[in-house]
Amino acid sequence: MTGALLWVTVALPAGAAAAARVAGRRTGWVALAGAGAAAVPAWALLVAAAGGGAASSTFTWLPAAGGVDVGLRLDPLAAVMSATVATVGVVVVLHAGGYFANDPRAPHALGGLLAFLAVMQGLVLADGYLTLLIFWELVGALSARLIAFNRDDRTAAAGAVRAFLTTRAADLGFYVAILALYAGAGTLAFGAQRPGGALGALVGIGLVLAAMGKSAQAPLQTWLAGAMAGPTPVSALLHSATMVAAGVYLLIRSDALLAGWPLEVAGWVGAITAVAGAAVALAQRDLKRVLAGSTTSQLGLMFVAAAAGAPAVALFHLVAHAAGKAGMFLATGIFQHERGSTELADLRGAGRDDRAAFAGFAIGALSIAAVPPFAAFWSKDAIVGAAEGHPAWVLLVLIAGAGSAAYLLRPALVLGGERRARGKGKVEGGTEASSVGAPGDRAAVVGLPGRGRMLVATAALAVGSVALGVVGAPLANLLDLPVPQVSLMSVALSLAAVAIGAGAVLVALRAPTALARAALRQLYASELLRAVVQRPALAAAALLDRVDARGVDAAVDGVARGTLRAARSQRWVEERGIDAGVDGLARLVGRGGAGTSRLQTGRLHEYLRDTVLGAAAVGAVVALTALT
Amino acid sequence: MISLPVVLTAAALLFAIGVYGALSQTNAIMVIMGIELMLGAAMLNAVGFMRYAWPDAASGAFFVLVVMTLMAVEATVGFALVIAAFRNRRTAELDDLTELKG
Amino acid sequence: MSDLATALVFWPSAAIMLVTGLYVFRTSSMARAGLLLLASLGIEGLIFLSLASEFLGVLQLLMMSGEMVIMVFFMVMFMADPGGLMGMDMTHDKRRSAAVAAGVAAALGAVAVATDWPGAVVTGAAPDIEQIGFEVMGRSMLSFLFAGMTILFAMVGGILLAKHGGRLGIPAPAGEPRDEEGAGAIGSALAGGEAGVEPGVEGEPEHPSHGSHAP
Repeated sequence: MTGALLWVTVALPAGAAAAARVAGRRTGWVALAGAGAAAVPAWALLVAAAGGGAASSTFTWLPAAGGVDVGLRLDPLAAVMSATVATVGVVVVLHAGGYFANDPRAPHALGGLLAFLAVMQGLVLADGYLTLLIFWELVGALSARLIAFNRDDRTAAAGAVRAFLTTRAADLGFYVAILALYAGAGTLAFGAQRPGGALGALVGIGLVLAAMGKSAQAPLQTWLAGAMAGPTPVSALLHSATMVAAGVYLLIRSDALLAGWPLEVAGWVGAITAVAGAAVALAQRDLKRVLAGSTTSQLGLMFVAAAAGAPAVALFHLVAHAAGKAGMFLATGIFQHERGSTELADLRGAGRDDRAAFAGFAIGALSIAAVPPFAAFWSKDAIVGAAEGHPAWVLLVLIAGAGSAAYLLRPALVLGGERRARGKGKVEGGTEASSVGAPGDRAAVVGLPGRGRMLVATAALAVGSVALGVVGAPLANLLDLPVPQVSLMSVALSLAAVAIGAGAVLVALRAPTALARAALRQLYASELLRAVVQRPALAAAALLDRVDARGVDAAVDGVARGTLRAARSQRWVEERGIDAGVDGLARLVGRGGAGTSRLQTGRLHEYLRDTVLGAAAVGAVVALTALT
Repeated sequence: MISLPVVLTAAALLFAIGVYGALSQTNAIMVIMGIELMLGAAMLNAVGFMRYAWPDAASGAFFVLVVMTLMAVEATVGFALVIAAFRNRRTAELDDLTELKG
Repeated sequence: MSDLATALVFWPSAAIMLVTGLYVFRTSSMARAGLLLLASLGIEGLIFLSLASEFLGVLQLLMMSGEMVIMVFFMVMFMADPGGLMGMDMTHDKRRSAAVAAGVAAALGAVAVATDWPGAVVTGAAPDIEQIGFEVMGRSMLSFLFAGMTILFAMVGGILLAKHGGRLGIPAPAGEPRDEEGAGAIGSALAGGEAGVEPGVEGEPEHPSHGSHAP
């Protein structure tokens, strides 16, 4: 029963995707119905898991070759993730119905979102690393497809390619890890022990690398900024709430497998990314890019939590962050429609024109900035508490917390600030659903098609940002892990960080230009990757190409040339030697035959004459012998 | 008066005439005639030997008998061949019968 | 017969024999050639008589007269110009033939003259007929039997070859109708395959005559 429910959870969004693809103008509502229906089994799973239920529905693939179990499973972690994905999915699809209300290619986008929901459910419900890898790759592929949704935007295509290539390159680590794990442990099931030696090292490095790539951890974070070229609902669902969280999910899931130095590495990566992402977010000029930097920073915090031995805290922050960040994105989507842009310069005063959307954005921002009593405050406090064993990590987390307050306060000030008359009237470009009016045109804002749906969705997530602070303890109980304790000390530290961050905004605006430019350019991560990965890879490829051309090809060509030469000399021998001999013999025989045939005149008297002469010759011989 | 070499010389001349006839004639029957003459020369030889060298040997006479038989047989087969050739070719001219030319 | 008588008969006879033999091939008339050959070989019989071989001489005369008459018949049958009135040339390759003949004559003559023949001139008579009879029926019986068999085979073979359609019964090539035999001959040619030896159109009168002078 539960096993069937698992498959239904995955199959329902997939079917809904197909339905939405062909639904035509009603695609928004069809997709919403599909996503809503898909949330039912997901929540049923969570209820079942809360009741202590656990299930697994697998089949053995390639039984003859040792066999690998492929299938889905239900356990508390999977159930929580599944419910989160389904819920955020419903809200985002609701929002997307409004966002794409005037877009003729809405079925494409909504179908893609629902298909993504299906594979994401598969990812979180996967049983065993092989199944996980399958859905992991499908998620990456669908992500690239959704980023490249806007065909007129060259940056969208470039961003999709960058996202796909970056995550694919990191996924190579996953493959290596799986092969090493199978070679060392003989199983790909969750809970396997990390083999010792080099194989164990490969498993650890590979899985951490894969998690870093999917979760956009430094220095691989640049693809997430590029992915912001995609539609805003896609950014909300994939690039803030669910898909990028898959790396964190992998760390939590592989808690036992990665215990020891791999988690230590992941923790350092997460801590550094948290600070770096904050710095990057502080310098961006595009609201969505600010949010993207914020996402990498928050995901880094989750890495720290998972690495510090508090997976429940990481999961808690994941859920809280999903609600807050998705809410901010959805509000940004509304602003984007109103102003036709997500540039901060274009959005100045947009919050004043649309106070409802600004309220949703502000609640999300307060939560992410860890202002009590919003949800992320509790989770981030728990992270600080969990990281107590690592003073350096605590310091970095606090800096990141201050940074989050700063980089969220900046766009909030811009959105809520005074409108400034802009030089250019209407904004060209942007999404298909262009802006509907000049800044300050509140009537036009209210009349925006689909705004109601978008607002409802934003409000739902705002509610989540307010309420989800209480789920920390239940989550820990559900996962059978120690409940995070909120100490007064950590609360004080968090508040102090927020205050410092608020103050830092003013300072940051006057930061040294070199530092600001570096942050704007993702701290030169692209350049670093180019130098460390791209150049050596291309150089190695060129070297191999030369080896291929000069060595292998030359050898093959040489063999061919040698064969040709041998064949030619063979032909010479045959033509000059054997053929000539045979021909000469034939000519000789022919000449002899021709000569003999001249004797055969066919005239009787000549035969008679020859007979007489022959007889005379015989007689002469006889006479000679008689005489001697 | 008459001795063995004289007879043999006469036979030799007759034989040469037969050779000339067999070689020079275009007609098959004329060729057969030449051969008859050669056989006649052979008979003359036998008679000469019988008369002047071995008068008591009757085998010489017998040899002549055999040669005469041979002449008859040769003429018979030769004429039969000429008839067959003539039937098929409408000719007995040897120059026209050159199918054996190589 | 005395030596003188022998010489008196031999020399003229030999001369006539050689001259007529030569003229066999010098005349352009086939009929004349046959008669000249008859003369040549008949006179050879005369020489036999002069050399004291009465039996052989008479036999030669009888044989040649019969054989040469048949040969003359053939001349008339197969020659385009049996009478030689048109003066057509029946010879070819004359000079080389003459050279070969001269060479043969020289060689044989040299042998005849130069050889040291055994025995002096015997004046006694040649073996009489009784002796020949004993020879034939005694020592040379086997050879005589073979000679008889040869004649039999020659007769059968001659008839088969001369038979209409040849020994295989194959008719003559189409397009060459035999005007002298007519449609009846063609009909028998068609039926000749299974007919075997049949006394047909080609049952020529020469067969009985051939057989007649074989013994």
